[in-house]
Amino acid sequence: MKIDRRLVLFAFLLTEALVVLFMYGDWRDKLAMHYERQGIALDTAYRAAVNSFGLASQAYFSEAVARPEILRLFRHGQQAEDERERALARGRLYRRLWPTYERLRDGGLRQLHFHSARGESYLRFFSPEYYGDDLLATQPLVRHVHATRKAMSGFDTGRSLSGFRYLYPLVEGDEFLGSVEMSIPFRHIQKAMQRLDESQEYQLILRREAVENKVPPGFLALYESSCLHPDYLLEDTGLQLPDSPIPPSDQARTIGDQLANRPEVRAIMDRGERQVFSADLAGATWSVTLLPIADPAGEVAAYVLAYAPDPLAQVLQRDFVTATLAASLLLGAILVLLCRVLSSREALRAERAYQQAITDTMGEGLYAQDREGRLTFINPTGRQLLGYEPQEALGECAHALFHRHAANEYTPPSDCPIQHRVNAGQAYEGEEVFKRNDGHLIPVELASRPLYQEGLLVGSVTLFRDISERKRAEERLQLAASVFTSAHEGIMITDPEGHLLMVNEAFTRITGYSQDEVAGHNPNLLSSGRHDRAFYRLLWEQLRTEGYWRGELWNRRKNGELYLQLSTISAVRDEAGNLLHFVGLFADITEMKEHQEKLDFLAHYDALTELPNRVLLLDRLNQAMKLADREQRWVGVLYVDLDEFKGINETYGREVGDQMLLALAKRLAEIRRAGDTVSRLSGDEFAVVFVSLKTESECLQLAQRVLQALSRPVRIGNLLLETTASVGITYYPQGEEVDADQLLRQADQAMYQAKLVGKSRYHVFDAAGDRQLRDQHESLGRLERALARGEFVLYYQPKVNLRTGEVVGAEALLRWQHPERGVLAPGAFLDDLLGQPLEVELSRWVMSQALAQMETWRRKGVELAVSVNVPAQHLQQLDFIHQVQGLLQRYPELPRNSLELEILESSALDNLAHVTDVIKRCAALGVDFSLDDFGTGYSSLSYLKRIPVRILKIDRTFVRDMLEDPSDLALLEAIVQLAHVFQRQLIAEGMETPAQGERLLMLGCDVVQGYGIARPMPAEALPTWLEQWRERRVVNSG
Amino acid sequence: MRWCALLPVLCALLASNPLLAQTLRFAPLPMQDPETVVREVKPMLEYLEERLGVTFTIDYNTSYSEILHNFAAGELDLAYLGPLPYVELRDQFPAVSPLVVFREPDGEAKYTCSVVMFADDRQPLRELAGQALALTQPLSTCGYLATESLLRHAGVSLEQARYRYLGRHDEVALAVVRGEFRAGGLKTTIARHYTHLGLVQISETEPLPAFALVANTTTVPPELRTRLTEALVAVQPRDNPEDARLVRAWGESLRHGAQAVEDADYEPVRRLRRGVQIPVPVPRPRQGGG
Repeated sequence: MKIDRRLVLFAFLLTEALVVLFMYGDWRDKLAMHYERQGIALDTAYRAAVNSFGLASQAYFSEAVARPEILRLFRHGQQAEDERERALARGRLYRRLWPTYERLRDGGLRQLHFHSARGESYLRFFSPEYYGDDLLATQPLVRHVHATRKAMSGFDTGRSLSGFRYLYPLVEGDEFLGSVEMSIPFRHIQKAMQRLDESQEYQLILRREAVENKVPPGFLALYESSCLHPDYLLEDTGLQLPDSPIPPSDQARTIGDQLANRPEVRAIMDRGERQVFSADLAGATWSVTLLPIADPAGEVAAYVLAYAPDPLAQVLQRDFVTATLAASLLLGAILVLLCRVLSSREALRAERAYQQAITDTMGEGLYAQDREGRLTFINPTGRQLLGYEPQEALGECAHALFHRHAANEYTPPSDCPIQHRVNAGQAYEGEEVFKRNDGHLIPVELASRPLYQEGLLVGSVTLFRDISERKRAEERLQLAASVFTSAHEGIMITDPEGHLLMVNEAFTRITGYSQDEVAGHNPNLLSSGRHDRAFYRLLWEQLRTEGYWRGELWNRRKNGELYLQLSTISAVRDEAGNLLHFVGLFADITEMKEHQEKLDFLAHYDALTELPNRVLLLDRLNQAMKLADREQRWVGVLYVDLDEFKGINETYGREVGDQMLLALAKRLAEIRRAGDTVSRLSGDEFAVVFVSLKTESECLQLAQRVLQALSRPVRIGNLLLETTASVGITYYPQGEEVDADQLLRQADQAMYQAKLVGKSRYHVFDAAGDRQLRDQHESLGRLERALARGEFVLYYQPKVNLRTGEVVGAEALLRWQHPERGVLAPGAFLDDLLGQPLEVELSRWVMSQALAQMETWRRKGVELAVSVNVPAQHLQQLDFIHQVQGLLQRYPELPRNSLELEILESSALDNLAHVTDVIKRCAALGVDFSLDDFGTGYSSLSYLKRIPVRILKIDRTFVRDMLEDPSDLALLEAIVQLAHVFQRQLIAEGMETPAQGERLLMLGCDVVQGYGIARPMPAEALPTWLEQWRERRVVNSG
Repeated sequence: MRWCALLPVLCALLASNPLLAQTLRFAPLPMQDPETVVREVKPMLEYLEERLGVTFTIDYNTSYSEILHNFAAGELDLAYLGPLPYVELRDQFPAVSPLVVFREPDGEAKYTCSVVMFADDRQPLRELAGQALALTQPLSTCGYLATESLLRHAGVSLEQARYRYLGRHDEVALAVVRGEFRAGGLKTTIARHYTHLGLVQISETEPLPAFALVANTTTVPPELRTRLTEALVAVQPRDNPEDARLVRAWGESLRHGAQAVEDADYEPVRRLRRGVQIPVPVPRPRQGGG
């Protein structure tokens, strides 16, 4: 496992930190104990000093003060009635105790102070002039002693100097006289402590509050603020007063300045706690012990400070530093050691990984075995080659698992040649067969070596590689060799200089030369001499540039015979592109070539006449057309058909016919100019292509020569046979693009025309007529598609009786909703239909559609007779009446006379008898006929009489011109009269103006149709129009 | 000229500038214990420091002769002196000049000296011949001079008694109370502080000029002397309640106000001195507890 150095470093740092922390803690603990001892020592010193004075004061009190005469004087001084007496008693007390006081002062006592029973100052031996002030108010100690009447002592600040006070109650009998106080200034306590421990310097700092409350204003100036705490003061450092404490030394002041910067000092003092601080002074460690001093009320009134060099603290610090350094060094050494171990492990691991990578990356399989042949290691390539997962094969015996000696037959492990060898301490190398995990056998090449570890044979290590590919390559080589040998094609291999190296058996068979005979020779040994130098130069050039040449070569066999070979010569180069060999592969195609030429002739020539056949003709024609395009000349194509040649064949037999054909073909060939082609198409049909014609007439002259040549008699044996020919001519180029096939067809078509016209002539193809015909065909095709797609619709134009205003019917008019040109009127397309079967089909559709529309209207309540136009072709169909009948039967609900058929005069006249019959039979079905465009046809009275139509429709031209042209008007009048005479109804077409309507009424023609009434309209619009017409009629009549 | 107009301003600035503040060496009266001196004199000095922008150091001397010596040597600037010491100093060192005299509790700028005894030991003055007698100091007005004058009036002389100089007035009073001396000579106002101990006045002199603040004119410039005088005279505790509060912490001999004084005011003292020869004692070590 790889250990992260950062983790080690972190662990080191953590341990180091813990060790340092422990050392530090230990040091601080020792220091704290040391300081505690110091604190206790100071406390003890202070108490000892104070107590020593306490004992002294107690002794003085007992010996000198607590005596009857003193008490008497004290009592008298308070109780005498006379002021002078009291003063005298006080003076006497002073005088009496003075010697005692002097002794006390020698012992360090400062004050001997009597307090009256009322708690006032009675007599101060120090400053006796001050007396009478109320002590109970200012001195808690006095208050307490007076309250408890028990001796008491304590530290207190005073009017001038602070110190320790010892108070004793003064009692005479049961009478409480007051108290007496003995006080020691701190200076003496200081000295006493100094005597106890000379190494220390003691100082006292007083709580500012405690001082300022008691000290007269003049004295405050004597106090100096403590640098340790602003709330504390130093007493009279200028030694203005005799009992002032010894002021701080320079050392103490320096240390004090240091401590002033430490906030914890102030915090400790704020809490009133005892504490020891250390400070450095001139390289030495000093300790400063702070001992809080409480006043009688228990409040901290002062601090006693002890300054002393503190070598032990220094020793402890040194111990700490030394131990920490030692521990750090030790840890550092461990870290270095650990790092080295890690580095070493890392290096080992890297080395292993490197070795592992090598074995993993190896292209060969590698496995190791123990002495028993069990697998102890297989590298990934080995596993991959053998098809095993990691760990899968380990522990297995390699021999049993995948060794397949002797062609997969079972070999006992004891006979394993590899194992046998390596166990004997020898190497084994060879090719074997291994079995993959999936059962496949793979050939391998292997090398096995005995494995020695520390001099002992522990197994073997085997390196193997899959040689399947190599085996296959070898097989391919073998195959190639056999191909070389047994190939049917001749193969020759030369060196780069072209010297033959190898030839195969086929080579020998084709050329007659053996390998030995040609080895070292140039292949030009076979040269036939039929190819010039240029041919060979090109061959070599292509070989050099493209590395490949293919073509046919005429060579000579050893026996001198020429032969044609199809050769492929390839340049063989190595990977660097260097030429290694030329390989020539060839087959003898002499026979094949001859056969092919024969076939080719048959494919393009007529076997009888040896003239080009249709295939070759078309090819030549194409070439001629291209040439004409380039030369801006004409090409003339003649289609020649012998007239009545069939009779010759039938009369004289095919052989004579063939000879005749041969003779005529020869004549045609004679007419042929350079570039022209004469072809026999079939039987007695020939075609001639004349090229480079300057004019069409040139072609006609040639055609004429053809006709003449063919009409001349032919002698065959004793027979003198004669025939003529019909010739169709067409030209190239034409107005539109044509191909060779089309040209031939055109010429054929023209030849047919020549035949029709009378044979033995030529006819020139009519290109314009042909185009028109084709246009009509296209137009019909479009109309057929339009009918199939439902593009035809019927528009309806109403017919109105002007006199009654009644709508008597409507004429159905055909319209073509052309997808591109919009709605087209019949004039645009009817001409193409004329006479065509489609015309009849469309007519049937119109009748059917009109009837369907009438049925639709009828269901909507609109009953209107509709007339449809019937073309002559339709009318003349024999089954016309059956068609009408069939249609009417589809709509039995329609009333009689709903359908009206309009015919043209001309159509009736073509087959008058049939038409008359149809009209009569239709009338029986209730279908009337009208004669459309009356007046424009023959309109022979006799015909009018014979055609039994009920209605005459006056052509629009009469109506249009009647107001301007008196002759038209006269004609119209005559027609009207004629209609009356023949009892026919009249309908005037093309009424466009009211004036025309009026005149028609005047003439007696009541029923009209035209734009003046309504334009033709779609079927769906008619009901609306009818509605509007009726409304208008009501308005007009109203 | 313009800078001339600025001169007073510059002077005022210089005078009030703390950096230029002058330190004045002050000698209190050696007739009280140091604690009392500090307690009583210090507040007054603080007042002057604040008022005048000067600072004071107290040069505590134990004898008049020492003060006179230091004054003459230029080591003192100001001193609080009784009339006799002043007159004596003036004789030796004419550069000394009185600034103010401090009023007594009765408002007068004069005081008296007394001969005192303990009530138990009281006897007529004339009987003092051969008795022990305590005096303050040879140059104390209430010392040899006043006591001799009063004894002469009673018909005896100090030379007939066993007198000793104790230094301080209070020491004289307390030594008499303690019975160490039959009588003592001291300033009357101080003697009265010890009445509650049975001390009684036997005889008292006529009023003499009160204690004065004197200046060394060689070290204290006239302007400062004037300002010192004005500052002290301006304190009127009797008339001004604010001043009364101010002087509450001042010493008994200082708190009743002051008035300007001239050398001529000391003629009565000079008269008293006439005909009296004050014997100069052999110096002796200072008494403990002083």
